[in-house]
Amino acid sequence: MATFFGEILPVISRAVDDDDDDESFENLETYVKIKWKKEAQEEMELTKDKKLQANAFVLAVGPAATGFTQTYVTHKNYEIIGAMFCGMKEDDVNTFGQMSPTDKTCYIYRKCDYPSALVCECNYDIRPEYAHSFVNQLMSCLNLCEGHVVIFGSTFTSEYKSDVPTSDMNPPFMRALKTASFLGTPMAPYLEQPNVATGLPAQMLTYCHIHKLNAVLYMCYTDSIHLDFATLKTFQPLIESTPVKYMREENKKASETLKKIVDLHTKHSTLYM
Amino acid sequence: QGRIHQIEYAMEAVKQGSATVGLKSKSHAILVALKRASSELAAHQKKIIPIDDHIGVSIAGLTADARLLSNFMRSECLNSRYAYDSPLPVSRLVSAVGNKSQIPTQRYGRRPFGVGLLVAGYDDQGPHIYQTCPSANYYDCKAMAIGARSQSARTYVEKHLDKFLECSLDELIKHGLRALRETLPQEVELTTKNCSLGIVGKDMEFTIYDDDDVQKYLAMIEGEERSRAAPPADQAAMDTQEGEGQQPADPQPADPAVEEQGMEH
Repeated sequence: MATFFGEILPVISRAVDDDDDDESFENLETYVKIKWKKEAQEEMELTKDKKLQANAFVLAVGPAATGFTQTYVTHKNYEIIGAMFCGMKEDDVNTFGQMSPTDKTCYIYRKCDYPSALVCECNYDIRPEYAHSFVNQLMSCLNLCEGHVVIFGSTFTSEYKSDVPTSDMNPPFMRALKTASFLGTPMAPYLEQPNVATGLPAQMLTYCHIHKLNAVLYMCYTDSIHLDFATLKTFQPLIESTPVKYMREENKKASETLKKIVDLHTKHSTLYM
Repeated sequence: QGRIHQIEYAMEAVKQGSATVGLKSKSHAILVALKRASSELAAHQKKIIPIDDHIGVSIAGLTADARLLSNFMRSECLNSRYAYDSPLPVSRLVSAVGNKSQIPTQRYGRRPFGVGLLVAGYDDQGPHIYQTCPSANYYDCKAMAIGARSQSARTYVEKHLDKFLECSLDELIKHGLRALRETLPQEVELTTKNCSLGIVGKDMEFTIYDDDDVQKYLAMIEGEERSRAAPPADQAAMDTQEGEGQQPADPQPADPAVEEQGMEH
């Protein structure tokens, strides 16, 4: 290709071979792996449909949502019964204890004294193309027919579209979406048009809607790129949401836990002072 | 729409930095800044930077851009002392920064500086507080706060604005620390680890107080009752519980009747 100034540049073809497409589809399904603890697997074998009975399920996606559940729900009386691995690379830092902001595991917790209450804490970004596989693999092991599902997520106010300028909206603020089967009223205003929920939280909500499960999605819109107190506190009223109010564990040291979580995420960012 | 988004994005970068407040009285200008928790392995990054004997700045935004601007300011001050044998007037320094900041907003291949500065200085005209912006605007201020959640600090400072002129230095510092405290959530307090102070005045060269040196000033406001510190969002939520307006920022349980109206919008 000749440019305006007469130099010749090599042209790269954008034509794609059909064979390439098939390969990438295969990878999508096998990229996400779920592993259950031995006891959990044995329990599943004993049931008719080979699934874990669950009456209450919480999915927390992202550092703010998982910070909230770690502080008010899973900090005690919960055991890990499974984990989901999605796209770990050689050079990823993994402390397997959610102690590093770059931890790339999702843990599935079960309440010790209420075994049909499950929490899945997913501390990092699952790419949208893997969300379908993630949700399918997870939900195919759970029997949630009579149960309640709640999904917590967070995203930036820059993704929020409205005719009111975002600074006037006093971020961080909460918005909700629900499935048709959920007959109650969510504890936050509905997400207004033309905004859409995306990614893993949306995938889970869609799954619940299709399978006629009671589910609510709470999305926190925040203006801070670092996890901060204000964002975590926006989740706080949701302790009273169904089913969290049956699953929560009182935490007398809540402030300290929140502080630790905020510090964990701020220490590693030195770009902005 | 006629908006230049790169400049607006750069101004958002300033809001990602932690809060800092600048105040002045008849005789002194001070800067107080909130430092972010940093790794124990590395030395603390400076939030307040000395520029000359009579000028200091505190930064909010991209650290590297701040370093560049403060080096530029230092060399301007040095040049003035060398050429004219007198300290550079603060307003001239700030306008030089403004002119330098405007260039990358209009040149191909460059981006605006992603940092806002609060400049505190003392010269023949008295104490000054200036604010500079990535948009290349600069403002001569009676008092100012920039950075994350700085709106609460600005509200405090607006409330007490008329007191500052006649304040003693200690009183001025107390006001500055209180304003900074407004930007913190209830669970977090100002400590020697997260707070920095810079003072310049008639007979006082620009001096920075860090770590233990701040303790004496923090002690002055210790034990004081903090204001309810309810951020504006909560106030709005409290109002809508009576089912009044359609505040979109409502995090509290929404009244079903009000919900229905919302859905029809």
